[in-house]
This record gives sequence, structure tokens and C-alpha cells, in this order.
Amino acid sequence: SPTDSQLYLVNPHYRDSPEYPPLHLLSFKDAKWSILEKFSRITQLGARAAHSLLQHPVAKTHLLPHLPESLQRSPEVRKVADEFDLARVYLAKWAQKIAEDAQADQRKYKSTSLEVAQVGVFEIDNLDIVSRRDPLSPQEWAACFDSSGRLSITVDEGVHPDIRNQVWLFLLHVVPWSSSSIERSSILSAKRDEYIRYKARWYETPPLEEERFRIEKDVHRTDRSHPLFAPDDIPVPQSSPFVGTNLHLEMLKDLLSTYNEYNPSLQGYVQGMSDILSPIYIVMQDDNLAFWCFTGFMNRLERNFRNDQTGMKNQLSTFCDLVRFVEPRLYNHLESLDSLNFFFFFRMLLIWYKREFKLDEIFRLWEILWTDYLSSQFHIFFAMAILERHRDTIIENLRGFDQVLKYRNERFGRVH
Amino acid sequence: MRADTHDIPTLKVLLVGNSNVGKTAIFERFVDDFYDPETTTATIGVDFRSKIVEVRDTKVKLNIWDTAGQERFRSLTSSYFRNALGALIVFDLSVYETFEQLPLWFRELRTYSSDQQVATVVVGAKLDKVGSRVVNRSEGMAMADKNGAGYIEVSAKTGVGVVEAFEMLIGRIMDTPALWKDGDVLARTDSVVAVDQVEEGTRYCGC
Repeated sequence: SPTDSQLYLVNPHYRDSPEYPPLHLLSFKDAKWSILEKFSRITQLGARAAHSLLQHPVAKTHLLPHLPESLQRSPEVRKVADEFDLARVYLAKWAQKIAEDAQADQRKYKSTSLEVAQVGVFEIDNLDIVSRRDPLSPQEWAACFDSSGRLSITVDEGVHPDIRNQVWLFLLHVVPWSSSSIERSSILSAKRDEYIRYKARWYETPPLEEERFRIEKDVHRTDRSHPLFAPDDIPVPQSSPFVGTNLHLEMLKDLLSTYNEYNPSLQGYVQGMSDILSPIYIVMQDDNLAFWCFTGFMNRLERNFRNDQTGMKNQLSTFCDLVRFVEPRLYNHLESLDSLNFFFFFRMLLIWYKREFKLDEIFRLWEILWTDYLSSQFHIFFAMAILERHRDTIIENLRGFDQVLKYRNERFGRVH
Repeated sequence: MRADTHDIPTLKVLLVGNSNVGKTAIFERFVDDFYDPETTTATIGVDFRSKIVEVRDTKVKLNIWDTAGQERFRSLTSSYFRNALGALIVFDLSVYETFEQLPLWFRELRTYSSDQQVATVVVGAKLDKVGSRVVNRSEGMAMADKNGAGYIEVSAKTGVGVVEAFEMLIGRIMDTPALWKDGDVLARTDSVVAVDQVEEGTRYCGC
């Protein structure tokens, strides 16, 4: 970043631009890898070393005093600093070795009678969303509006379920953050008219049977265990292969058909879109609002569903860069496993972890990611965090792309 | 245990076919003997599972790749085809369109699975849906014959034919001299694999 030399912008997006003006965006790829790699090694080693250093009693008493920058430039001090560095590296290695040995012992204990080739024998707890503070409560939310109903707030920790359907309208840019309550009600009523117009289009000229069926077959297998979507008490037409339907399933179908009219550039429904719509519909429970929230989310995700798949390829490639930068050892291991295409993250990046978490976790995760706090591409960093969490197991136990994929399928917080 | 799995040959096989024909249901019935229409979801990307089976007194480990059906993801799924020895090409006996598209799947497999011959079995799924069948058996067999594939009809719901479909596929792999010889998968030369890996590995990595 031009404003902060310590900050690297990964795959910068226009959404990040308020903080980092577009003219000065530094693309990650512009930088030479060799430099980044060195930088990475230093910072990694530094971070680890510093950590273990501070834990060490000897270090605490003898090595801690930091020198001012001007002094560091003098040759004598430089020499001392170099020795200091050597000591640091030694301590770091020592600390790491202890940690590794302890871990290895633990593993040995856990995996004695188990087949080594069968990956995923280690206990890996599901990914929890760790809360730094409580979600925004209805009372706090109400207090954020001034007398004209204008809002002033930063939402970055998720919100209480009771106000979710209000907050999401802002987070998904259905209504502007700066709007007054009067403005919002006129915006929403105009949106309703617009929604009805789009809906009328396919009502009047029904889509091809093929497209209708494409939507139907996915809606009938999306979150069917949720109470809204579980019943199939309304009969389906003769032509349908399904046993029955219900009002909400029909709503989902209508919404997806309407979205086709709204955004013809995708050339029809794509698998995964029903997964995106379902949580939004569950929260909004109003077809007009759900539609505009869905379009708001799809404005971000549209690139994932394009015919040429460039959106997915770019994100997987960015992710690959990020892994190389943050976890070079893991990167090398995955390279040796022929797994650098990161296809095992495809589903997670395509539909933002929808299949990896329970619905109430998804609500929370999505609303946090929508804030663009830190980055509009934070979902990629989230992927990095998931991968890091599994790093040691992957490096030590996985010996092929198929095993990586299998491990992902079985272990990456799958809850369904 | 470890030596055991390493000694037995590993066969990579695929499940392909249009979306919602029942690939994942067949996959789950075969691997876990499990069928639950309530929890079904559209496969996104690919799922992968292994199972050890015995065919003609030979134990083999099947690595089964269950792929997403929709065309939009073809550029992804086709990259999984590499080095597959066999494929179940699945269609829905009650949806004619899924049958009509079988030739596309054969073409897709030939294009992306490497230059070796791939053993194939055409699988007519959802046999349990009595009365909804729109593709008859002889029509199905004719299509399979024309493409040099085996033919079987199955129901993941009742389990009928599912194991047999995989056994038929393994049998056809064993019967293909280019794929199988002296009780083992024909070794592909390491250098070729290594080159492939480099290509595959760097394809989406812009670094």
C-alpha cells in the first residue's frame, strides 16, 4: 500500500479503494517473487523467533534491550546485532524443535494402530467462528440512528438475528448507509416496482423448459432440512420429476428466474446460486427484499459463475500466491503433491463456505465478510486461515492430490 | 495395514453425467451403502472417496471421483479426468435429455482423460421410478455398444445394480490390455507423469 509500506494489498479490488486510492494500488504480482520470498522468510523467522525469544528466560534478561535505529548503523553495533540474530535463530530452532517433538509424540499416541495412508485420523475440531465481541444487539442497532433515521455505525462482528434482516439491506447495498428512513422507504418501494417488472418479464415469456428444470432440480435439493424448505405439500405439475413442493421452494425458483432477467450476462442459472440465495431468503423472508439482497451479494460473486470461469481461476491463483507468500513450506509440499491448482478450495471460494458451515454460522460469516473490513477479498484470507490450521497435518501426512482432496472433503469443517 | 493398501493396485475412476442424474447417490450407495434423499445437494467441484473391492479374486483400491454435472464447471471437472482408467457415465432413465447427451460425455472423456483408452460403462439411474422410464433398455444398450461401453441399470434408492456397475467397470479395465496387465495397472512412465504434474500444478498459479 502506498500509505503503509508494511501493508501488501492482495488482489486489490475497487471495493478497497476508499482506503487505498486506485491510482496507487500496488498489485501483489508486480513485486518480484524473490524479494517477497526473502521478505517472507525474514518476517516468518522473525515472528517465530521473537515469540520464542520472549518466552525464553535467558532472552528476557540479556537479549531484549532494543537499540535505536541510528545506533544500529554503526559497524560495531551491526556485528553485535548479527550475533544477536544468530542467537535468535538458534533459539527459534530450539523452540520449534521442542514444539514439534511434543506434537509428534501426541500424534504417535493418537495414530498408533491406524493406517498411515488413511489421512484424517487426527482429531481436528470444527472451525469455530471466534468472537472478539458480542454481535450487534437490537438495542445497540436502534441507538445508531439519529432522529431522521440516518445511520452511523461500523459493523464488523456480526449482528443479532433479530435485526439481521434490517442490517443486511445496508451490508448488501440495497439501501445506502447514508439514507434517512424516509429515503429508505421510497427506495424500497421503487425497488419493489422494479422487482415486479423483472419478474413479469419471464412470467410473460416463460424461460425454456431446460432452464426451468435446471433451477427446479437444484432448488429441490438446497437446504431441504430447514423448516421453510422441508415440506412438499403442494402438488407439482405432471412434467416435474419431484414428488411435491412448497411455497418457499416456489419462491426460490421465482427469485432465481427473476435474477436471470436482471442479469442476462450469466446466461442462465449456475449451480451454487441456490446455495447463495437460500440463507438470504431464510433471513429476509420477503421476496422483494431477498431479491435485492441476493443481487447485492451476486454483484460480488457474479465473476465466480461466469462461463469462462476466470473469476474462479483468478481467485485460486491469488490464493496460490498468498500461500506461497505466507506458508512457503506448505506451498512447496503442495507443489510436490501436484495440488497447486487449489481445486480443493473451489467450492469454498465459489459459494463462500456455504457447504462447510451450519446456516447460523454462515449468516454470521457472510455478514462479517460483507463489511469489507480490512479487505474486500477477506474470504481468500479466510481460506488461508483454514489451510494454515491444517498445515502440519497436510505436510506430514498427505502424499498426493487425491489425498489432499479427500482430506478436504472429510475434514475441512464439513458439517453436512 | 499400510503395506496392504500399498500393494494393491489403485484404479482412478470417474462418475460423470448431466446434473441431477444421481451420480452422488450412486457414489454414496456404493461407498457407504447409504441413501438419503433429504440431504442431497448439487455437487460443486468434485468429491473424492476410496473403496477397496475384490473383483475376479483380485483386490483393487478404487479412487472414485464424483464430479459436478453442470456445463459451467466443465473446465474444472475435465481437469480431473486425467489419468482416469474408467468412468461410469450416468443418465437418468426418466429424463430423456440426460440420455441424449451421453455422446457429449464420451467425447469429453476422450478429450480430457489423457491419450490412453478409458473403460466406460453407461449407467441408467433411478430404476426404482417405475412408470417414469422414458429410455428403454434396448435403446440404452445400443448407445453403450456404439461407444464400446458396458451397460447397466441401477437404483441408488434400493441399491439394485450399484455394486455390479462398479464391478462391471473394473472388469472392463482388467480386460483392456492398454490399462491392465498381469494383475496390475499398467505403469505409466514416471517421466510422463512428472511432466503432467508440472503442467497441472502451474496452470492456475500465476506466481
